[in-house]
Amino acid sequence: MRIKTTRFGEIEVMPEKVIHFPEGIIGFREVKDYILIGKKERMVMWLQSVDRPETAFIVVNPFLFEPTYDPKLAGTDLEFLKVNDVQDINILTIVVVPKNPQEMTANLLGPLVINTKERLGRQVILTEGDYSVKHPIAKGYVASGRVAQMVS
Amino acid sequence: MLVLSRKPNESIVIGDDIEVKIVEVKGDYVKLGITAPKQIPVHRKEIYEAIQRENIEAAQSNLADIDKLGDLLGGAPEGKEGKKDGGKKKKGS
Repeated sequence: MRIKTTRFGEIEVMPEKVIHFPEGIIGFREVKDYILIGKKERMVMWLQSVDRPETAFIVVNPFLFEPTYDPKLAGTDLEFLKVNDVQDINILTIVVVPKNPQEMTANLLGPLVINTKERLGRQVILTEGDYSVKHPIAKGYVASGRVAQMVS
Repeated sequence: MLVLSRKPNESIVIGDDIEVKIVEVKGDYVKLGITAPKQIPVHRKEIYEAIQRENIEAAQSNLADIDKLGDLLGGAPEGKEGKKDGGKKKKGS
């Protein structure tokens, strides 16, 4: 199927790749179907709405910059997402890029949890772990000892 | 707004399947127990609003932003391979 997007123009999408967020994403409750654009191994992707050309989020694998990140998912979340095997879970965090890219942040408190098998997603609000909605990415990345020159 | 008075251990029901129970009252602190179906998310309002603000801000991102992020993280988003700017990306960590 073809979908319209503001950032990428019209693109071809395999229907089986669509991820359904039954509750939408917080603040975007009525926008429920998304696709991921970008290669998983590159860690940085777009979560693009299928129905709303302008709605897309930059998402990133949080473990890349925060290896100790430990989102504790509630049983109700796993049930909601119909998770049978935890291997099917993919966790992504939404990124905000301010004018100074060094101040980029990821929302670790409200990760997107996706059951890759069922193609179901939910933005979960973690109740354990004291995570921030504005976790600096650059800082975490330096802390993990890579590309330190980016913030010198 | 409907305002009801309740004592500890009393509850209210909303519809058929939501129950809000007063678990404890201590000074200006009230502990609530909420029973609701799993498809109904329950959150602290200020946290919910913070995440909402974050999402709305995130939705303003443009293509240049993901390049900056790709630079920072040492990779590049798909479709940008042909546009690499003078070895700025792919630091090879």
